[in-house]
This record gives sequence, C-alpha cells and structure tokens, in this order.
Amino acid sequence: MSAVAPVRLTGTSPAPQADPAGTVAVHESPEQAAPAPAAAGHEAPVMDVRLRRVPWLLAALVLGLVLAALVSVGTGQYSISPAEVVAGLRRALTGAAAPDRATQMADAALVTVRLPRVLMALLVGAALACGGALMQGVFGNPLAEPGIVGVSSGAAAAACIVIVFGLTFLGEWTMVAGAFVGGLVATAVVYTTARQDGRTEVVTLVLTGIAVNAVGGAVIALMTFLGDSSAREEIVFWQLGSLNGSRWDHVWIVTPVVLVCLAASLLSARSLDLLALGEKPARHLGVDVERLRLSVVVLVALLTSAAVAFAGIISFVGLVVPHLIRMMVGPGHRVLLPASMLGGALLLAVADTVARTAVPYADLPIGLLTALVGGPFFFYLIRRTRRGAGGWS
Amino acid sequence: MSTAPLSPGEVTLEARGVTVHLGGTPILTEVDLDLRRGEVTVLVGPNGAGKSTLFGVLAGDIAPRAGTVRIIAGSPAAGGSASRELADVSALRPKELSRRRAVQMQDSRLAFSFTARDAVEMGRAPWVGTPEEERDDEVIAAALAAGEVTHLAARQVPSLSGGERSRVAFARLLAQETEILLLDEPTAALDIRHQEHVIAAARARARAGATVMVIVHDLSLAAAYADRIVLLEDGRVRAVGSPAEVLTAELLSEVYQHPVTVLTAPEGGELLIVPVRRRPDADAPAPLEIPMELPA
Repeated sequence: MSAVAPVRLTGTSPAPQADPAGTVAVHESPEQAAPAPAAAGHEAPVMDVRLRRVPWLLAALVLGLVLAALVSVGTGQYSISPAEVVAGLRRALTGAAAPDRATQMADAALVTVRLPRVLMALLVGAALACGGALMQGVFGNPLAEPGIVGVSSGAAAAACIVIVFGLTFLGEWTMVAGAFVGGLVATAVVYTTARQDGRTEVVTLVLTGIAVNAVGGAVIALMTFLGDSSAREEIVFWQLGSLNGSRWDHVWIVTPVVLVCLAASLLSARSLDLLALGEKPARHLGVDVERLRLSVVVLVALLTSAAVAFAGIISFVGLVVPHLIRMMVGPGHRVLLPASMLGGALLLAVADTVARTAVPYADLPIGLLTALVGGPFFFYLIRRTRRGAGGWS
Repeated sequence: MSTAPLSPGEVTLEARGVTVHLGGTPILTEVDLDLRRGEVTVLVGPNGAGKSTLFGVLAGDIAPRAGTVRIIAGSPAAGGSASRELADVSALRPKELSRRRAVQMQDSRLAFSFTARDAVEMGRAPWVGTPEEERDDEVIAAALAAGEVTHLAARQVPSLSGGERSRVAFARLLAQETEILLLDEPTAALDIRHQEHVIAAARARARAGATVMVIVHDLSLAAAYADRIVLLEDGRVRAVGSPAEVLTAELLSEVYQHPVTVLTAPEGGELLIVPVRRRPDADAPAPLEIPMELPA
C-alpha cells in the first residue's frame, strides 16, 4: 500500500486549489495568515506551566529516593549511620571483610535483613503506584485503584488459597502465580461490569469495588476458617500488609516481574493519553483500543500480584501517588508513569521506615499506615469531585 | 516531487448498499453514498433518520450488516494518477485509517485535566515517527488559530464550556491533517459567530483538497456551505444534490413532517429555510377589534 500523506494545514499543501472566497475564513486570524517561516519562528503559543516542573520533580524524587533508602537501611533497632551504610554496601559488593566484630554484625543486619526489605519496599511501591496510574488511565477515572476496586483483595484471596492448601506446584513462584490469577480474575470482573462506553462512572466503580472486595473478603474469611493456626497467622499478615520478613529470594522473584512490567507500561503511555478522549476518538487517532486494554489490564494484574504476593494488601498507594503527580505536572502519561513509579517507591520506603521505628520494639503493618493516610485522602478526593470543579484533575 | 494535478470530484470515501440493524430494528437500508474530494457534503434529516449511524459506519466504528465502505488508498501527492484505489475500511488497521480520515464526535469530553494544547496535540498522534512529526508545533499553532482557541491553549479542557471544548475538538480534527474529515454536529454547542467560522473553516479545508462531510441540523447553515446535501429519511437516502435541488419547501415539509418555507436571502442570495410557525391561537377566529376611542 502506498504511503499516505497529510493534506497540510500550514505551508503549501500537496494539492492546493484556488478558491479565494472559501479560504478567507481560515486566514482571518493574523497568526494563520502568517507564512510558514513566521509560523516556525513563533514558539508554540503557551506551554503548560506544569511541564516546567517536570525536571525538578524527577530530580527531587530520585534524590529523595536515594536519601530515603539510605536512611531506611540504617534505621532500626540497630542503628547504622549513612556513611557506614555506604561503606558496608561497598564491602558487600566487593566481598571485602569487615574490620571488626561490631562492623561484622552491622553488615549482617544490613545485608540479610535491611537491604532485602528496603528493596522490596521500593519495588512494591513502584509497582502499586504504576498499577494505579495504569488503571486510572484505562478506566478514564482517577478513582480506579487496585485496592479500591478489589484487584488487591482478589490477588490476596488467591494467595490465601495457596497458603491454606499448601500449594507448591510452581515452587517459589506458586504464590505469585496464584496471586496473579486472582488479581486477573478480579480485574476482568471489574473491567467488564463497571465500564460503559469507554468510561466508568465513579459510583459504578466504587460499587463494583465493594462487591469484588466483599467476595474477596469472603474467600479470605473462608480460608481463615479452614486453615490451621500457622496458616491463619500468615493470612492475618496478608490482610494487614507488611514488609517484615522480606528475604532475598522474594526480591529475586519480584524484581524481574516488576521491572519488566514497569518498562512495558511506558510503551503504552502515549496511547493512554489518547484514551482520555474516550474509546472511539482514541481509535480514530490510530490506537488499537482492544489490544491496549488487554495489555494494560494484564500489566495491572501482574504488578498488583507481584506486590501483594509477599507484602500483602497495601492500599491507597496507587490512588494517592498518581493523583499528587498529576496535580504537580499534569496528566500526560509519559511523565505520570515514571514519576509515579519513583513517587510510589519513595512513599513506601518512608512508610516502611516509619512502620519499623514509630513504636519501639514493634513492627507496625505498613498497610495500616497507608490506609491511615490514604483513607482521609480518598474522602478529600470525593469532596473535590462533588464540588464539580470541572471534573477530575 | 511533482505536484499531481488535482482531480476534483474524485471519490475518496464510498458506501455501497450499507444496511445496519440495531437490536433487530433496521436503522439504515441499502444506503449508497459518495464523498468527493474538494467538496463539503452535508448530511441532514430528521431525528432517527440514521445520520449518526451512517456517520459511524463511514468512520469505521460500526460494521454494517451488509454492504461495504471503501476509503481512498494512496495519497494525492504520492500517486500522481487521477484515480486512486479504494480500500475496504474494515481491512485497514486503526493506524492506517487515522492517516486517512479524522473524526469529530458530538461528545468532546476529556477524562483528565489535559490542556487545550495537549488535546490538539493528540491530533498529531497518527504522524508520530514520520517526517511530518517535525511540523507538529507549526500545525498545532495553526489548528489552534483556525479553531479560534489559541487564547485557551493553556486552559485545562474540563474547565472549558461546551462550545469551547467543541472548538478544541475541531482544532484537533484539523491538526490531524487527513484527507477526509468527518464532523458530527460540530456546530451544536456553538454561537452564531463560531457556527459560521467552523463550517467556513471546514469548507476551506475542502477547497485545499480535503473531503468533508458534516452533519448539521440547521438547514440554512447547510444551504450556505454545502456543495452537496444528502437527505436521509427512515434509514434511506431520500435525495442527493445541490442545496437548491434538495432543499425545497415541498420535500423538506414532507420529510420533516412540518411545513417549511424556503426563502432567498436579500443579500447574497443563499437559501433560508424557516419552519412555518403558527401560534397556538392562529387557527382561532381573528380577535375582536376593541374600539380604542374611550367613551367621552
């Protein structure tokens, strides 16, 4: 098939036809009457002011992330200063021996306990925030969030089944695979029931979430009933959400899944922008909407299940982070997705540090903390919409 | 590259025997339609005549139960020959269609707080990765100006009025720079000035080599700017032709089931289509004359 060229709006069109009477209207405005060189010379009339903040925001997020990770790794019952952390990390990487016994203990705590936990916090935070941003994009609704619409509880319910029946058919991966299937089923149910003409009303979405969460909760309750006391203990940990007990083998399982999904999500950024126009207009602009929807739904389920599989239900990260990022730099997904990943990682690194240190000798469930902050934020969002300030920002 | 001679009147989008049923009810029956290059075709008809369904079929949104829709394959500059091949719309991928035809829907909402400029920039999506991408800024500026929304460029679309959003959608349609432009009631939310402006700008695109089809309800507006009028009635094409041929008092009165007068404007000589308005008491006998002289 031969190449298709545009019928140009500026400069010379490939096939102009003289009709002075007809063209007057478009050339009325002075900008339009200016010939091509002038048009090329004048800047795009107004830049979105929010876009100027992008480099600052990204720099701040990366800096914050590094600082938070260093502080988090050093904080706990056994305190290690940032300088010692850096030295300890270098020793761990190069395999050099620690100079004295106290440093050996510090290195052991650092490498076997703190480091996997902080890495899990970063991965889970990035996965949840990215999953939230993707879901909001594909639903065309900023209230869509894996926790609220029940994807997390679907994944957790399936993970509970894996725990109680002691399923191990995929070895270490059984938990992630089970959570993925549960998350995918829940996403599919929400997706097929809550959408109408490519959009989702807030009320429908929240009601669908209540229904899916109820079923997920019932399955979890049933599993709690059926399980023995050790399974029950594990299930309770799921529902609270915690990074306590993160191990290196968890990190090795979650890392590839999350990194691949984060990278893949960036590929759909532009198409998600167009989807904000609605499904038909997006298709008119060349988006293969069916394929986009399918791939995003699978990505959301994968990201959520990877996060939920070892950390349990940590809600509201996917709601709060993308919303704050949108307020700062606008809704364009090419910025929103990477910034949300960084923001989510930062938020969970900080939240986990607080969870470990707020109460001496106690490890608070991180899901409790995020819900404590996220719940009121959700109220605020609903109030904001009801004020009807021209829709969701 | 030599500029190919224009072949005015070349068919760029054709429908043949298009039949659509929705929920068992026939909405369109055996509709034939040709859209030609350089022309503005205006689709008119009463509510429920099937305008929006036909529009959806031409845009590639609705697959007809029977019949075909074919769209021009090559570009006017690339081929050079007077007649180019037509390709079946259902056989083309969304990306290929998006470089051939742009669509403005009635509903111009946007889910997130993109600015008007962002929304117009979305019209450039089909050309990403082609040399055309270099012209993005220039084209977006021209499209904003043509939609008279340059001053709204930095505003967030959800905060705009319905008419402003509709003009932003029109600017996006122009920014797509396709050969075929399909517009479903682009003037519905607009004031008089912008109604005239948008239709005139669409007509200017036709004169520059595009193919334009517009649905409008205002028959006088249709008469002023259409090269051809297609009148739909109950899912069939009732009449096709120039405004003077189709917009007759007799035909319109029958199709719209309301008496209609067709006048000629004192200046310009365009047709003015006016419904005959009867006040509720018009059938009543003439009111009694009340003597104005007061008794002495």
